[in-house]
Amino acid sequence: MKRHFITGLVVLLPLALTFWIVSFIIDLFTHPFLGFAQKTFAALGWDKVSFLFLSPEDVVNLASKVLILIFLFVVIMGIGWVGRYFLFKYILKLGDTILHRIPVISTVYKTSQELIQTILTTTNKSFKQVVFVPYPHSEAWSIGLVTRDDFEVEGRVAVFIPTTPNPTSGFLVLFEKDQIIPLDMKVDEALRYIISCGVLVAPIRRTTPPPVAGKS
Amino acid sequence: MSSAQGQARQIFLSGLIIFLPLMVTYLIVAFLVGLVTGPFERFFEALFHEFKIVTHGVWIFSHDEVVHGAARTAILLLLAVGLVIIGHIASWMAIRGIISISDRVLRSTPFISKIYSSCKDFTDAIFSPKSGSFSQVVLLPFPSRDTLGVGLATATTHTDIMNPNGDELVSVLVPGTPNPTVGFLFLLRKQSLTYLNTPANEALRYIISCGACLPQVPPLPILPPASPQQEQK
Repeated sequence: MKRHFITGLVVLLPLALTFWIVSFIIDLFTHPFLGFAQKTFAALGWDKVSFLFLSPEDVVNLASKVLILIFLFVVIMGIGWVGRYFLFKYILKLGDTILHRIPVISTVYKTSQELIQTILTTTNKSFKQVVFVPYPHSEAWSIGLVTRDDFEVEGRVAVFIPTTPNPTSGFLVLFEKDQIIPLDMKVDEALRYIISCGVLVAPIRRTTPPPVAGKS
Repeated sequence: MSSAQGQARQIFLSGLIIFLPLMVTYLIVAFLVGLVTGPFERFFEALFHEFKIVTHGVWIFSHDEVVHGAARTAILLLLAVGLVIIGHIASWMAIRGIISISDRVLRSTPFISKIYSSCKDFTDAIFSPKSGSFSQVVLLPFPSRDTLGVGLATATTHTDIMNPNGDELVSVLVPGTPNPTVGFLFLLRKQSLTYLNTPANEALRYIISCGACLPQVPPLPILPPASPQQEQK
């Protein structure tokens, strides 16, 4: 009985967690537009439909979320496409300059802009190299990610060491280059190791060509 | 006057000592139940209203509250039964095929795949049969070599970094206090660890209570378990 319960849990829990996280992210993106979409539905008189077991309210909610997501996707594609043309490039740049001038907003905007550009641009190698570092002291080790391999502070490289099991927080520690051992491990594998609290782990091997010494 | 005041305070305090643990337990359990039943609540409440199963309030509870409570109870019961049934049929060949297909579909859906595989890794780790994983309590030098932290040894792995013949490293989870969902994961040599006879749940209680709840049996060092044969690929 107990064994079956646990088997069921193993099958269902990842699905439930995924559903929960995805709906959380969708809510995050659709929330600012939800009120507007609902009012539009009400104004058009489309808020009286109930479908199967869903009340009219639920139907409006669900439909608005789907529409908002589609709309956002189209807008993002549109911006990306239009941004290739000279005139629009100029307009986008103008908007950028204006945002950079507004006191409080500029700080937030600049930081998020830079962060997103670093993560989404494929050319530089930030957060790509998994390393083995002596942290918190010389007889215990941690697995971390090199944040940027093209930047040094006093000859030291910054390594992000995520917490367990939730890697969205962590520490930024500066190591000397010879303290860092680059590993033959993909970022996905490293995250798997961290999220599973160390249970899912392969043997740890260094990469054959020596350290980060490439650039700089 | 001051003695009467002191006595009133004493009475209030002893009442609080009885009342607070109940309250905290209620809050945490209600939160967990709400988390599990949340997505289904609307549906079940609609069902209850539709079929007029509950028609009026009971005692001090209003009609809505009774429906809410009944819906939650029904959801919990159905979930428990559903989980047992799923677990039971998961061993059938046909069902296994369906599960592995849905697994593959989720793993190849663009945006969802990352979230799903992380969640799956996490639950697999917790429920994996090797999950002696989270039962061994150790003391480790943390955060410096002269201080000790309490951790759980989760798995062992091999590395040839320090020494070409290969070393065995133990992954140690150091849960955060008082919220153990944020923790640290370190790799150490077995020689640097002190294995304890304390059961994992008592160690966790000790950690979550910020060190206030002591383990029932005084912790004593024990011999480390024999290193498992190299089961890694």
